[in-house]
Amino acid sequence: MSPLFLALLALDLSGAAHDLARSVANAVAHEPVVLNVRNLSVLGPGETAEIRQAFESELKTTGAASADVQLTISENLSQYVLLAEIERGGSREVLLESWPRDAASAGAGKPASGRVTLEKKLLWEQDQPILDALQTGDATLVLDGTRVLLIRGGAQQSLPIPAGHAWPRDLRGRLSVNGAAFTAWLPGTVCRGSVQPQLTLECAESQDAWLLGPAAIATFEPKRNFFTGHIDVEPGGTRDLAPFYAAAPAGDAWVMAGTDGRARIYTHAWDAAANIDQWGSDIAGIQTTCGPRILATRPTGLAEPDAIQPYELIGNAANSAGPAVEFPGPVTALWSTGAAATAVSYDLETGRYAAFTLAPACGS
Amino acid sequence: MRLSPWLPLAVLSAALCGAATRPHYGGTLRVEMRAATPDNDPLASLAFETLVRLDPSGTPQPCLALSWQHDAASRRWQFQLRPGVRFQDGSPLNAAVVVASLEGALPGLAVAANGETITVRADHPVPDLLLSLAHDARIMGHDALGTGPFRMTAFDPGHHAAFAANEDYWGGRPFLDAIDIQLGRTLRDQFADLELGKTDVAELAPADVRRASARGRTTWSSGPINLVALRCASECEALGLSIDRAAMHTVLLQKQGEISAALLPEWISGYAFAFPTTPDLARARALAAALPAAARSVSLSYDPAIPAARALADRIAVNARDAGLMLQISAQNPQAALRLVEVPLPSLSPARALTALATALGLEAPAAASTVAALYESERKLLDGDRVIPLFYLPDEYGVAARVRGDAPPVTRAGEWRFENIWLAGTAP
Amino acid sequence: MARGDGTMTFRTRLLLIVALAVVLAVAFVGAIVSTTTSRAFERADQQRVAALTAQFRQEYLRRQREIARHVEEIANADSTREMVIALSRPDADPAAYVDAAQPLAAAHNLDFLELVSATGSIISSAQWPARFLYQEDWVKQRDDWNAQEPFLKREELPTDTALALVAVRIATVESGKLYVIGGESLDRDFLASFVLPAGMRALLYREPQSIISASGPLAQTALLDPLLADLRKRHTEVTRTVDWSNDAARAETFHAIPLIGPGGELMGAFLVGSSHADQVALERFLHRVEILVAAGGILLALLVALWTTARITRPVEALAAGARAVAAGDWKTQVEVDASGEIGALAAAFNQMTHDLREQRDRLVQAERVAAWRELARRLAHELKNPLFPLQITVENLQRARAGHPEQFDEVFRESTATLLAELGKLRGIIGRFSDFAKMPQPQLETVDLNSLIQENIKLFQAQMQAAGVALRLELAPDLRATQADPGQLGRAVQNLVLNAIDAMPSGGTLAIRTAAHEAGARVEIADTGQGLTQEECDRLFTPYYTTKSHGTGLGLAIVQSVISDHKGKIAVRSEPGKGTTFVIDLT
Repeated sequence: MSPLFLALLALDLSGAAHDLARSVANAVAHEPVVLNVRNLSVLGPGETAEIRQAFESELKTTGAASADVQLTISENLSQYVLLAEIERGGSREVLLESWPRDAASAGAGKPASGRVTLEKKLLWEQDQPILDALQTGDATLVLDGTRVLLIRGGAQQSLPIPAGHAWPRDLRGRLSVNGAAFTAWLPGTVCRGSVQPQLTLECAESQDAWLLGPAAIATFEPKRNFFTGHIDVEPGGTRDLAPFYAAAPAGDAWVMAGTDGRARIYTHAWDAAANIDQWGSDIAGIQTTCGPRILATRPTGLAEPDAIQPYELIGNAANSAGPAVEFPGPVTALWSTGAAATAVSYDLETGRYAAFTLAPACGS
Repeated sequence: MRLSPWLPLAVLSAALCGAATRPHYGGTLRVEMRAATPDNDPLASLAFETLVRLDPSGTPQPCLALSWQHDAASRRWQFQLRPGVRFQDGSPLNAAVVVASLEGALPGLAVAANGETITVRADHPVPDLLLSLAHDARIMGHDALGTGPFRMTAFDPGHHAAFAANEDYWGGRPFLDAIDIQLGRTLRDQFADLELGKTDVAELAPADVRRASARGRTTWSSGPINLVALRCASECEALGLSIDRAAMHTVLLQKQGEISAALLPEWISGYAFAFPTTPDLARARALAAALPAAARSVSLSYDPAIPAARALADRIAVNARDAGLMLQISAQNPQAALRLVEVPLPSLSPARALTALATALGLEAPAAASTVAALYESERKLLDGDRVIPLFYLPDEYGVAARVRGDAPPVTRAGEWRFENIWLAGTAP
Repeated sequence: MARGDGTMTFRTRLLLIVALAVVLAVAFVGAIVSTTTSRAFERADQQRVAALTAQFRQEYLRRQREIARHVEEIANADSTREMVIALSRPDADPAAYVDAAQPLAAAHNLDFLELVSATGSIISSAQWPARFLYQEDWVKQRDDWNAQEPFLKREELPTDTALALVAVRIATVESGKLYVIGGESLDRDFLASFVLPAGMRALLYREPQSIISASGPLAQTALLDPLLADLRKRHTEVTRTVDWSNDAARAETFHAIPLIGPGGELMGAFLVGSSHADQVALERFLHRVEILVAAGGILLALLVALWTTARITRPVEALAAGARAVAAGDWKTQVEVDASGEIGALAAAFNQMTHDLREQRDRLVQAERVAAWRELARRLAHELKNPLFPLQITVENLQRARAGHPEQFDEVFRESTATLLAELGKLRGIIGRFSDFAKMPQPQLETVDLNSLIQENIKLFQAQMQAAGVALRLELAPDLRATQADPGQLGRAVQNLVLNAIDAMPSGGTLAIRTAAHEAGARVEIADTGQGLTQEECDRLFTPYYTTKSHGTGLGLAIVQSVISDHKGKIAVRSEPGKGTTFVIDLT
């Protein structure tokens, strides 16, 4: 979302939140309450936190609670809806506030449709399988099964990853960068290092959970190629799901590409809502200016070219949200970097592995 | 299926089908439907357009209106018409025709033309005007012709409708040459025809969506736009509390659509979740026990055209029995005290939709509501009378033949058809 | 058939004897046949019930084996194993299998089939598809279902409850588990599988209240309640007869075999009904035959009687009629009998007897008449002699006085004429009585109260009775009806009888007069305690001029008899010497 939109949204949002909080406080006679917040809208965790804050500032949320207040952030086509359900002594009261979803007037030139076009940019190419690659500042960091490689300008630095044990087949690995520091996860091994002033790397055998997405980590099976299903997501806490290859957040929902070949949509309450049968095993969630999108590969075979298609989750259905990006061979890795994604594919003709960034652009 | 670069690569398949292909012009899309009238939105949306239309996220986008403005109170709106648009007979779209269409479709609003600008005035705020315009106000010219990508070329009520591509469509001639629609086909026959290759698009029952997907078939789905509810001749609170919607939704509807205890779906009202959907069997039993014995045996009629209607009715009867109520089930019995009905969402404007739904369900007209909170109160009052038990909101779902291509969602959330981007593989241009 | 006096005719007696003989014989034979038939039916019935019971047990076992086999096949099928695997996944979606049970049930000819998850939740139900996700917790209570025989179970259906024979098998793949519950309904089709002899039927009782036959539910079952109550109490085979109506042919004996559920509870019963219709029909037929034979026998008896009448009774009756006619006085009666043998001889003897009797009677009448004339002459001579002698003496006196004593002639003439007149008066009186007797007038009937008449007439004799030392005892019936009589004549008759009674008690005694009502009319009894009469005297008492008194004309009782006879009554006398005499008058 644009900063202006967010600012305008904040005004309406906190205004409505404060209004509703005051109404709720009056309804519970300003007694302490137990407050639960859930988000059914496309608003992100930031907005959700802001609403919770606005509420907590009006309500007393500690001490002996006289009522349970379930606050739900919802939306319809034109309004965001804030709804408070007050349960007190067996009775139930509902209070509502709403504010427009779009504070500005509509017209030509506004952010148009939700269709996303993926811009594919080559990051690195090599003969060995690439597990992940990231752009960090002016450098590119590449992870493969034997080393971490830093390419800056025309120069390359690499440090080997000590092979304390044999890697499992279909090796997978993930990179994450935070400033100059980076973390590399491999099955049963975690490596940490920095790219400044020069490349450093320290690896150790570890069962630490891998980064799955914003505020989400998941345990990777150390001798396999999938996540065990044990995840830890904020808010919500830990969960034990079926094993999956990849996961993608979409608003408050999550989509897991299961090891049984099915992608499952989970609601914010971690209820399995629906299955998606036409996706490959690699999915990634990205945040675009037109909302969260999920990138998914096709369920094609090793000897076939693959493609990555953006999807938008609407309700319990995944709708195509833009043209697919084609690859000259199978996609071997797909990881989200937040607002973009890294895709690695194998070129059937040249036999080489290439890592690409996929940057979304909203509009038709 | 997880791809592994460590496994030996197979020989390249002769059929490298992964590469994208360009769309083909030509061909006739064969569609089958149950509905026996052409008044429903899907067919109308092929030939007629509105000033605005909603994108998949529900944001209004320009259609026949290029831009619009409104005052702070949302009482005065102005729309600038898209130039160069013609009706299917070649006559130009102008403000006068638009005014005539809007006046008919939006009673209570003052519509005026000023050059090619349309002004809409209301004596109360209408913040949802764009939603109403997107769904309820089709622009119709002379001889009931529209500006849409297809024009109707044949219509045999209850049996057949045919459309041909509008060669001069302002958005570009559609890929398809024609659309042929067989009406009055049962879901079962449609599924069989789809499997046999006799049709390209067929409606799917919720239970068939899974089957179709399992066979690798593409499916199209609208948003939850069809309310399935029980209409009660008299108060039926006990019955409503006994119904286990979740079980029916999971098993009979295969989790298609959504559970609803509200008249308006969540995506229209934003507060449907506030109406509790979980059964309260203890309270249902207590209420049923307080009824006279004769009132505990009730007739339930269902419309066989509703997907899984009989199975839903049977399950409702099982739930009711747990509460001490006995239901006798029959099909299409106008004398029945309970009726399982399906009502399509009449508007995208929450207030207009609620009023129209109340009328369709035989409820009193709700109080006018200009805010979401007021709308919630109106809806709550309607449901407090316990004369209607909303159960589910189901989408329109279609199974699609393999030769049908197109990446834009051809069925909108509101159930409209956007077939202008559909093409048929294997047809010669 | 009966004479006027109530005695039975010979024909009637003969008819009755023959009829009775026939009826007794028929009844005896009929009783023996009925008893034998009844025992034979009972034995045959027991054999048929035993055969049908054995057939039921065999069929039950066969069904158990078949159900177990089908359910095992389903549990072991590849599709079931795939279902178990799919459902054992953490994210299993049971909705995909909600329709699985119906085709499986149809393919294996099972009426019931439920696929139940390891948690007891119904995945799919063939008999009640809408019950998916409902709990069948009872199935989780055992792990050894695969070794269990099929058992009885009450199956809830959308509109009713059925009694089912079900088997449970567990399909297991690794840690995944699926309960397969399949069975067949014990219903009309089950009953229709039995081969039933005529007159027998098989019913199925299903707790709590349903009884069905091969053609559907039984409408009237209240009469089976005692049998079912017995069954519920004892849980063993019971037998009882049910009377469906007052008609014995509609009675039916039921033998009930209890169907016990796994927990020892009564789930239902197999009822074998054996109709009594054939037995009763045969018994009724036999009765009808007995009746027909008896009727035939009676008819035969009648014919025999009629024949006998023609040959024997009629002549005998003719003879009896003749005898009665003779007794009534028709001594000219001759019996015409066309019979030979003893009856003919009897008839001839009878005719001869009547002829002889007539002659004898004529002679006797003649003699009686002569005797009566002689008696009348004697009495007349006696009566007349008394007044005549004084008349003669008086006339001789007159002659002597005129001749001898003319001076005394006037006096003597006066005395003599007085004596003459007195004696002439007596003569007139005697002649008057004779004349009265000769021409007694017809009675003038009027309604008379006999009690009053007797009391009035007895007053005339109060003084006389007192003087004679005769006590009067009146026993007059208070309910005596009035009768038609001539009070004067009847009163004179009563007076004559009272006078006779007083005369019969010269030393005093008791005069009892009794009245009583009887069917025909009234009875008057006048009894004295005098010396009584001999039989000969009784016989001749009403003969005119017969008297036991030393005085009197002897006409009194004759007049009494004549008066009573004119009143259509009867008078009789009872007497024994020394015990008094009682006159009995019966008036109509």
